[in-house]
Amino acid sequence: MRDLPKLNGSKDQRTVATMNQRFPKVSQTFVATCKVAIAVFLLVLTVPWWPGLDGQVGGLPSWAVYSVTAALIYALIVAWLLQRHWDDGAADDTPEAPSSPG
Amino acid sequence: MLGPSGQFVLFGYLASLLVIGWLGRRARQSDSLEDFYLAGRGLGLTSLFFSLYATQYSGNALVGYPANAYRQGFYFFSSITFMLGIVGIYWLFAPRLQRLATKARYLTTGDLIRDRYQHNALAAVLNVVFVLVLASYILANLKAVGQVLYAVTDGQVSLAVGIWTAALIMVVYESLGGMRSVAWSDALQGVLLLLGCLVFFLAINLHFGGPSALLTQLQTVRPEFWGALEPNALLGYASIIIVVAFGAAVYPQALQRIYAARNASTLKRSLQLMLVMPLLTITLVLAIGLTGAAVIPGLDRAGSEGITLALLAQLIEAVPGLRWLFVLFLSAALAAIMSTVDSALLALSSLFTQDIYRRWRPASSQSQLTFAGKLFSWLVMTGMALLAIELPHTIWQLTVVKLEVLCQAAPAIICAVRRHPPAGRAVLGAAVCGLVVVFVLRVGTAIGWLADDNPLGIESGAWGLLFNVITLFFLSKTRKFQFA
Repeated sequence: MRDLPKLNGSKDQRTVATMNQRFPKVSQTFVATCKVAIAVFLLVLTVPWWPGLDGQVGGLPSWAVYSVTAALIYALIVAWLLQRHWDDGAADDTPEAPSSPG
Repeated sequence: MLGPSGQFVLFGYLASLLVIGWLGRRARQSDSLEDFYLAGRGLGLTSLFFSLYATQYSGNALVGYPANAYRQGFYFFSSITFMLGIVGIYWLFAPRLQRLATKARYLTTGDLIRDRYQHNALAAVLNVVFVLVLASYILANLKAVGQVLYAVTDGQVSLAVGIWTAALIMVVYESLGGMRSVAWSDALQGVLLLLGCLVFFLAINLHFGGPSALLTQLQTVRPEFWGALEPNALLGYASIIIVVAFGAAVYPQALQRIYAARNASTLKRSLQLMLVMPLLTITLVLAIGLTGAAVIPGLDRAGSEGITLALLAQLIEAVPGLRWLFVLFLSAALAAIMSTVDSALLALSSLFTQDIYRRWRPASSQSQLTFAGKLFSWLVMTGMALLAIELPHTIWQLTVVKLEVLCQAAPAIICAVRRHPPAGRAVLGAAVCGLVVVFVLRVGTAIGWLADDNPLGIESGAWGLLFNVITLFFLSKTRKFQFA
């Protein structure tokens, strides 16, 4: 394994930088696709698809209560993602390694 | 409806916008495009947060959302999620975009597209989309400001006079201080919007007996709101969330605020604060719409568009001491509308100056470019005011159509910030494919070729986005599309 440069910045940025060094293009595409999938998946989870949501809770339809509760949880998760996974691409500034060793 | 004291407060509010414009001009540091359109990339937490808030929550939030809640009931709770979803989509690209914009000195979205894809045709197509969207945004909100002023003055201020007055004030303070004036006025307007929603919500809850009594009454007059959601309705619910979250996240005026952030930390905090706002604003306006459905049932579509004012009128008739509430609501509505129009106008003006005029006259000095931008703002505002007076449309219709078109630009923006963006040719093909799908579904239904513009209940914009992403995936794998 090649020696990787020591980087400043968050653990997240260092992980991305390490991935960039080892798998220059695959890691970027994979990480970006995963992030989009997470964002869409979280949004889709807030839709009241689930069976058993046909009653009432506190005078409101239970699917409406689910919808608002899921939106609140979504807000908390996004706040956490912004705090812990703020990827500004600083790790991209590390030079790319050749795609095949040697 | 508006007494002398109300007129005084309204006049004071409008005059304060001009003062803010003048202060913005005094605070300028240079006669450059960057200073005029991005406040010298120096927006701090308060200005940036309120500016993002006031820009994303337009007049539609105060007028259109209660009307939708009136008609659709709890189904429109989807609006809480899609406003939160916008921030979730920002998480995908805003951090990298802010860094790239600072490094490469972007002014407009066109700068980003040209820099990252090196593809002029893609930049041109997306700029056409942005111009159409911004123009429809300005148009819809100018119409709303005219309708609000007409309604609250019992027709003493005609639609045309209301639109011209608001348009003139906005273009004056924008020309004076650019982004600085717009962001500062957004802060004032954001506070008014928030205050208006909170106070109005509390007042109607106290007057009409509180949530429990209102829910019982609502279930009596609109029992269908409690029905289970059909599969098509659920798909529609999911698709409107996707369309608005992706579409509104790439508003050019919102992207411009990302460029204008002082630093990454300011942007991060602003976005986190934005996650609280749907709960403080949208939840309240939905409750206002549902209250309207309970206490003033039976309104048709046009009648429901004025449900907020109808509730307010009932409230003031019963408790004349609450007349000040009317002035507060009016100020909040005007604030919501004007903060949206001024931001869209600034984005449109920067797009013209940087992406068209500067490329046409590359030797122009910074002050000449700034002057051209201001002149363009005046011309656009004049044209839009004329159109707003003439064209008939409800606010929500315009909003939905523009978001369906705008969300087709989202893959291009999100992919642009990647370290290795796909080829511009592939992104262009995908965006055109998405736009064609939306166009075929919308126009095909309008002329009777298709039965429904939302097949399976899914919004046409979501179909477009799906085809857009699939096309992008396959084209970016095709060798022919990997090179410019």
